[in-house]
Amino acid sequence: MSPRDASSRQATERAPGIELERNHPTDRDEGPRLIEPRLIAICFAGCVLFGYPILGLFKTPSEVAGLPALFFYLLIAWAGLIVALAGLFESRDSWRRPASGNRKQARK
Amino acid sequence: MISPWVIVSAAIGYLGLLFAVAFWGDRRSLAGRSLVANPWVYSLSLGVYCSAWTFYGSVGRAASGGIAFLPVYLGPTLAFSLAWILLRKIVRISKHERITSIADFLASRYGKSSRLGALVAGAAVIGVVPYIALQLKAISSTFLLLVRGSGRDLGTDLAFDRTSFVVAAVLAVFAILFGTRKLDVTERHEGMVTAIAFESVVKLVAFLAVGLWVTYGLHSGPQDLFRKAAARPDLAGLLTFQGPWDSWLWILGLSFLAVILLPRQFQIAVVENTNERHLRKASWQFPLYLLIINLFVLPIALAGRLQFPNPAIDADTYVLSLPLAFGQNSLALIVFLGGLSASTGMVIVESVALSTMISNELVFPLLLRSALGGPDPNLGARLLFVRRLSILLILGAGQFYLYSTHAEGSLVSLGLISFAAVAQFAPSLIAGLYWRGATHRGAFAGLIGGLAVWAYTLPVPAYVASGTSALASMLSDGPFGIGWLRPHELFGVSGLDPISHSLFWSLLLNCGLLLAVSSYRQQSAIEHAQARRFVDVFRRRSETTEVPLWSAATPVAAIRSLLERFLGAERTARALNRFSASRGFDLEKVVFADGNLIAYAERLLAGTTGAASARVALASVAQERELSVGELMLLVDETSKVIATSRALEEKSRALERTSLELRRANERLLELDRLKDDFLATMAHELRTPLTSIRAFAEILHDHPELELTKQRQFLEIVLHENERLTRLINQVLDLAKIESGEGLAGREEIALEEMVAEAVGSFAGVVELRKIELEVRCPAECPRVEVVRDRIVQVLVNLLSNALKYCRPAGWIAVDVAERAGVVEIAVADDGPGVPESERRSVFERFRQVGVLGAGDRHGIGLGLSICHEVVVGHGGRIWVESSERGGARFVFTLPALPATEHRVRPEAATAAESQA
Amino acid sequence: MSHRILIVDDEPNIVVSLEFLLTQSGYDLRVAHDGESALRLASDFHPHLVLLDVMLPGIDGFEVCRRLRQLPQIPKVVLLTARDREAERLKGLDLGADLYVTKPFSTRDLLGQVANLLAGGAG
Repeated sequence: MSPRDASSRQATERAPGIELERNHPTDRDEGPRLIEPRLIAICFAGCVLFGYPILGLFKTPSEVAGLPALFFYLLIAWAGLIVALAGLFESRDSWRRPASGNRKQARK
Repeated sequence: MISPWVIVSAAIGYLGLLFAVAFWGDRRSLAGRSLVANPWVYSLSLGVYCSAWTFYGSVGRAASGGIAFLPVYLGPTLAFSLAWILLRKIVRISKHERITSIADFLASRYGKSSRLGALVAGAAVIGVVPYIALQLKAISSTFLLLVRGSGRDLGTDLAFDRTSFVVAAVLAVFAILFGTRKLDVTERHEGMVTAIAFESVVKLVAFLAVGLWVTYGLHSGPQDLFRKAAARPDLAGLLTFQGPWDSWLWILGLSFLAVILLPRQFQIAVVENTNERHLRKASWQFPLYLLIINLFVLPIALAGRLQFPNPAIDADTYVLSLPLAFGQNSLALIVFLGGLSASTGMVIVESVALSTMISNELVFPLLLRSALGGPDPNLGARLLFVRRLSILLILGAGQFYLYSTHAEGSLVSLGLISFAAVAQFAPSLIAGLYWRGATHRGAFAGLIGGLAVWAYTLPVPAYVASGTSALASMLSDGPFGIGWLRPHELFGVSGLDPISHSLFWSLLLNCGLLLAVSSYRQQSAIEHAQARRFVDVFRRRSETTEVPLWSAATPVAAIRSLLERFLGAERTARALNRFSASRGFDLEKVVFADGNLIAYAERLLAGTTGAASARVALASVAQERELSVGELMLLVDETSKVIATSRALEEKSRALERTSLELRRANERLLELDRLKDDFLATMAHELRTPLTSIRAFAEILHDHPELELTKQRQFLEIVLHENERLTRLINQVLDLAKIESGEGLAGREEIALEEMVAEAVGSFAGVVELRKIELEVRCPAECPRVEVVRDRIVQVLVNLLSNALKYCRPAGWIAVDVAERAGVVEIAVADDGPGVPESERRSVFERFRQVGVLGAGDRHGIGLGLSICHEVVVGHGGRIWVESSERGGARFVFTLPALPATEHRVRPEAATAAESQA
Repeated sequence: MSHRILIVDDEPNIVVSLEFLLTQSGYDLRVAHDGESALRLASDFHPHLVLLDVMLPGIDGFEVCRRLRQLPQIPKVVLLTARDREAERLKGLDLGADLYVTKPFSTRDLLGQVANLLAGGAG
């Protein structure tokens, strides 16, 4: 496929895609961003924090700051996860693309 | 105890307020200042996840299981940590394909299959019925609780059945008014979303209010409450993690899936999404909402246990029972309204989502097949009617479920049955998003298998257990006493709770069938095309191959009238204008729609009817196109990386191919020339030697047989002379041809009227024509065109063509000479009524010594080079020569010459006279 | 008895001259103007010798020569041709022609060669 073919096909393909509303970001938004691996890391951390065998630590009663340790732990872990997510989405750094060497490859 | 009238009027007042909010939301969106465009509203509307299950059921669950209520909210938190990756892809695809529901999404992904759409829609409706029942149960029981002031066993309560029936009816009307208010079914329900976001705030506030009152009013802070609970041996266990692990993990995973797959969640998160950037905020705001609404679940549950040692009080109602027990009637009313908003929000969105599925995936395909040809002008209205009816049916089914199971089971256990049903969509959905090879058959088989196991292991036992039917023994002994088929211990697998057990077997079968069947059979072209559109939605568009699946020969008018039946005339006109404007052509002037327009129409329709139905509808007017091999090749799976590298290689090899092709062509041309030269020489030798042979033979005969009689001698001598002439003519032609080719023979042009040359050529045959009684027509316009030519050569061409015609025309046949002028070219034709020249030889007759197949023996004299000379002469004058069929079936040789400009030969005589008169 | 000779040529004047000469020499003659009729005639007439032009309309002389070899009674074949390429000569002889005569030929020589061939074939 020559470059010319590609661009002409693109032109013909666009039009049916012109919908009544098109609020989603343009194609320029595409490509991997640093946020994606970080999100997966958070999800993974969540699976560990809320799963086997970590919660097994709270089989016996104990207290932290007057609260049951399990209750306290889940509260902190959950909130921590949310703070991490918020921080990630609100920080500019997350929307960077990976370093230039990878970038070329990713664009191919 | 509160007067029923107070409660009813509060409820009605609240619902009225909800309408006002929805109305306001619609007004804002019409005014272009949409509230829904705000990410906070999006996040809050996602809170529809928290239904009466959350509001009442979580406390009930926590009261007996402690922290076990929580995975239902931790799962969605994990799911939303991946929303930007997973949900955004679904949203993007849904915008591209104008998806209307989860059933539409799966149907569209797997080849726009109406079969699959119907299955998913049916499963969603059936699966969600217990969930609806849960809401009805919650509202009815809390209403009765408020009226009576204390909880009671509800199972055999006639008042409960009556109340729940009224509640179902009211909710149905309410949902109809909300979700199908507008005739225009395709627009988003912005008002509804606004109202749902509002309800999320109300239920959060109400729950926090009761939580704060319990923690800080009833007790002195959480530490106090927890200490009191820890002191009670029967409650201390609720403060620790008690497992079991398998339930915890299964429910964590289950709710991870349900928060995406539940029809109402898909509706709010995907269909009603206005901007995929909202997912950024929702990724942390929605989990935050879940965290806050769950903060006081455990404290309220513990407070309830502390307050009501009597197990007759249903833990699901603690939220309400606690304020009532302490005379906090207004707080109780607020709680009731909070619970009402949790239930109504769920019911409204769920029933809108389900009714869309029912109408688009179940009813509509049937309707289309039967009634499309009918005179119904507005299918949109019928669609709306179907949706309203479906809402009634869904709530009716919920009510029936509640009635037939005698409201057994806690709120949470009812909800989990529904979760497990929609979880069956997960394998098809995930595979559909990331595995191009997943096929329609695979998805269908997986869903059927998974749903069958789900039904057998969850709702069937629930129904059987609640009844007094003879089947009740199947739970303990298995059906017909077959032990390994016990619904809760399939194949003897025991030790799992029913939900985990059901999920294990159903998802195992579901995934297994999906994988196995998909690997066994190939996809159809449309499946493959859709798979690529879904999986590769984030690729640059140029890299995803779009193959038009519709053939172009469909009248625009047919498309237009089809669209009008669904969308109405005005919207159709608007959409088509937008399309033609974007393409830069005038649709009024186009008769046939091209593939792009049909694809556009299909997507427009899909927004109303779902992909599968849109395809069926369009198929009624447009032809589906057969895919060519080349297009199928385009679809062949290749990652774009492979394409990129192979592209460079391809380019190189194509250049090589081009070069070698050029070389091969040049070589062929050389060989052809060589062959032509050989043929020419051989024919030349033949043509020269044949007369020579005769001449020599007769000369020898005359020499050796002096005794021959005189007449014989004379005959032989005549032959010698004739052959001599033939030889001379041939040699002259060869010399002529050489001269014309060198350009020498075309010198000395003069301006001359064609008429004159035609007359001369025809004249030279006058004798023969008369002798053979041939009808010769000369047709020349009144003002015969003039040309600038070498006179003798053109006469020679005419003579050659005429002698050819004479040779081939029938005895007493017909010959016509036509002269015509058109577009600056003079056209001269010589036609006959002979056998004509076969199509295959029409080009080669002008080659040297080429004989036409129909030639009889002995007829070849003189033809050898005649037409070649004509060709050279005409081309030398800048004209063309060809042969076609004449009006009487013979040959018609036509040649053209450039005409002199009309003004030149008309004005000149006048100019001459003018000059004369001046002189 | 006289030998039977079949003349196959589409040039009427050459046919006339050959017809005259061979009749003079006392042969029994038939004439065909193209390959098809030549083959048809040959199967009825059983000629001892065929004078065959190579450039015939329809089936060409080479092909006629090849098919003549399939007759139950194989005639001698003399190819007459204006083509004098060595390759064509060899092709003709390969196909079973007994003689390859290039036009223009001497009628005297041709008569002698025909007589020779018929004598050899008879003897």
